[in-house]
Amino acid sequence: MYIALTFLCYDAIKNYANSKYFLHIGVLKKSNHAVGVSIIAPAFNESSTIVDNVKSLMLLEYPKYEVVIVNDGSTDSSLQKLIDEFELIKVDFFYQDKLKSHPVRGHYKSKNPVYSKLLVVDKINGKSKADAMNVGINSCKYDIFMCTDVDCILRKDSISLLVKPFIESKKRVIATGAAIRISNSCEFKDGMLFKSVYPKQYFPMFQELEYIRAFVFGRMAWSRINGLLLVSGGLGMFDKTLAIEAGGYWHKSLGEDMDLIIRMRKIMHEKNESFLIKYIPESLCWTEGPSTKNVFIRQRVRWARGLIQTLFLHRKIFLNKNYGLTGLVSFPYFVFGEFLVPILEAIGIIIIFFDILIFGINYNYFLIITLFVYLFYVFIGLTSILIDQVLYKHYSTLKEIIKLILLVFIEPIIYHPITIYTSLKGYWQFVANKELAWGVMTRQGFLNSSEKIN
Amino acid sequence: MHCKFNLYSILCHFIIPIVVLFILICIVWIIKNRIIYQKRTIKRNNYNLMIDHFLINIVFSSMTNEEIKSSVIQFKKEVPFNKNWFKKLVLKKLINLKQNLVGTDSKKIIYAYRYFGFHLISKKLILKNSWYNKSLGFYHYQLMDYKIKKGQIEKYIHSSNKFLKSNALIALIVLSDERFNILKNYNHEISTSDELKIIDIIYNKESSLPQEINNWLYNENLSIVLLTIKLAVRFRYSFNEFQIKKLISNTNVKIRKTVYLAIKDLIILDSNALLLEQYNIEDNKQNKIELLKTLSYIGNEITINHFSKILTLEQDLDLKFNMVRLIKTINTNYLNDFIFKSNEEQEVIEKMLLHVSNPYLN
Repeated sequence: MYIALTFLCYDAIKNYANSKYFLHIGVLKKSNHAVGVSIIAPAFNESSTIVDNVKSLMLLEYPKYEVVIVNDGSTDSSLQKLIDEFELIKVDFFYQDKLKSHPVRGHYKSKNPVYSKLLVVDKINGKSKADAMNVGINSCKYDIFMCTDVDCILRKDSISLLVKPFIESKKRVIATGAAIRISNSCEFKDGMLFKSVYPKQYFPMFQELEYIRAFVFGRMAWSRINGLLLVSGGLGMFDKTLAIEAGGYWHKSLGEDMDLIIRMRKIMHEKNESFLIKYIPESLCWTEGPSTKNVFIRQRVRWARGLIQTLFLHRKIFLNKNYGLTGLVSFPYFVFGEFLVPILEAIGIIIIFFDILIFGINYNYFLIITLFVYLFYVFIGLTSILIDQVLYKHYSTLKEIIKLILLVFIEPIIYHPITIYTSLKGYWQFVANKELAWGVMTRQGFLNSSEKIN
Repeated sequence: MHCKFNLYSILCHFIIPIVVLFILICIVWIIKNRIIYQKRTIKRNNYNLMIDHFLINIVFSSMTNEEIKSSVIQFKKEVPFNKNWFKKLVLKKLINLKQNLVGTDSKKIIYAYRYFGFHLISKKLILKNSWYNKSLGFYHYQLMDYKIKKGQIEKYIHSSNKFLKSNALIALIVLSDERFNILKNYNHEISTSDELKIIDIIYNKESSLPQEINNWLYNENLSIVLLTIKLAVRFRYSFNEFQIKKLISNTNVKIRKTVYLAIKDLIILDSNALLLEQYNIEDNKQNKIELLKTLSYIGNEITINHFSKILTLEQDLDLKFNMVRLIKTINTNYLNDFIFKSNEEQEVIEKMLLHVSNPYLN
């Protein structure tokens, strides 16, 4: 399976790189005929970084876009900071709740024409990103919307690169996504990435490695066969009409990004219309990863609950030929290759433990199998890094690259078990129907390059 | 070691050594790639300024053709021009310069392109088998405005590879003397990407309206019709009643939408009655919205009368909202005295009115 994914990934990236001159983004960036894009970014208690981040979103290079910030009932000064900085006033917006959500308190626009593309929506907290996103979709004006988090820093050409597949393809493109990176140690200048630095903290540095493997390797391979079931909530672009038809984001979902994509795919299969979901291998988004154990575990438990919840919710797709590739390949892969893996790994460890205690095992065989699995895992990790480095050469120094290589070797031993634990905990919480503890992730904010120099 | 099991033996003596070998190759490759990149970055940074200085000197000085040639020959001796990365760097800078210089004689850049021998590199790319190299070659010629024989490109505009076909078509439009007349007998679909690229050419290069635009509007290739409507807008070519009638009755949703947008951009006031009739026939919601937007630009009291009768009957809030906007745009006070059937209806319309009246939302 993984060898097949390696070839698919290679082919997808090669095609992407070769078609660079088909529609050069320079043409898109200055075109009067570009399709409009609405960027939707929900914000909850982000007062420390919200102004800089919104400014960063306003600096993106694309001729026709708006920025919709949804203040999801923040209890800090997020909204006030936006009002003060961007000279906002409350406007009488004709709001239609095509997608259900918690009540909207008001819409704000800037009196300053410089910020004319900014719309701020203030709503009552709905305890989920999904609820805020639905309000954003109801309020945005263009037919394509881009979902991101307000704490994410995007590359200047993000919109152009993500919208390109919508324009280039003859088939209907329903969603696009791109690679995400961890921003914890990166340096930023004027709201844009200045220097890509490999994370220095324990959890973020392993997450970065995971992201490289997931985005450059896995997602590109699935994109090649149009089998993607997930476009990250951190950065994704969607067909608004279809998203509304699919019912938008489900506010109770813990994996709202995957849930929406599955529902969009279902509709397209049911209508018997051909479609595409494309991923591009470029890193366009930098987001802060959890740096403490507790926050990390909470995040991963939520992801695991999101996975099992979504798979359970859409179980009728499983091996259902009416849903084509989604039912016969992508969904079963998520069941066997994503959901079941932590369970199988845990069962495996328990069985080996009992074997050692009770029956005894063939140590030679055990060691050689374990060595093979370990080496294969390392090989997949290194292949992802190789592709990433050959194409995009992230990070500044050789030292960082060597560190990354070393992490590939130690990750299966000291990081992977933690992710297995969080997955199992998430599954258990779902089965036991435990109430989810949301918690708050304290943001460290972005390291400004000038601060670093000083 | 004695291998007891078959699988054990295969893993031990075959698979694991291969995986280890691949791992080592990956590690060496990653590190080597980084070392070369770092060294090259230092070199590139050292040469960046030198190349910029040289190219700007050529463009803005009063050098003759021969002087440019000798300067290029001399420059090539002073730099590692035999290295591919260096050639790519110079070519990239030359293309950037050509793209960004406005109002300056670009012939000198084309001479430099020739004297550096880049035209031969582009030609070599075109002669290669892969579609990617061919596309890149056409792209170079197109951006540099470097005239080559039409025959070198023409055969590729019928290629089955969409990337190659597109790049060849655009290069041909830019480089041939016929410009857009090439499209006259083009029977393939012009994609949205091609449309954007063609419109970009129109804005960047001096081009005139194709003479046969009138015939193109009735071309069987619908993508040509779409493009023609956009060309008409660019060149401010106004459609007559017959043309509009013909175009808005097209079964293709995209064509109808593009015509509505064109009428708005060209402000064809005479088409008001036609569009009012069309509104009743149009079955696509997005197109209806575009129609309403267009009518708000070209409409008059007749338009208001027409929509005031159906405003309260309309159940779709998006359409109703655009009707309110239309009426408000044509006559600011009309809805002030409007009699509504119910308070609920009045409330909705008032909310819409507040939105369309807000200067920050429009």
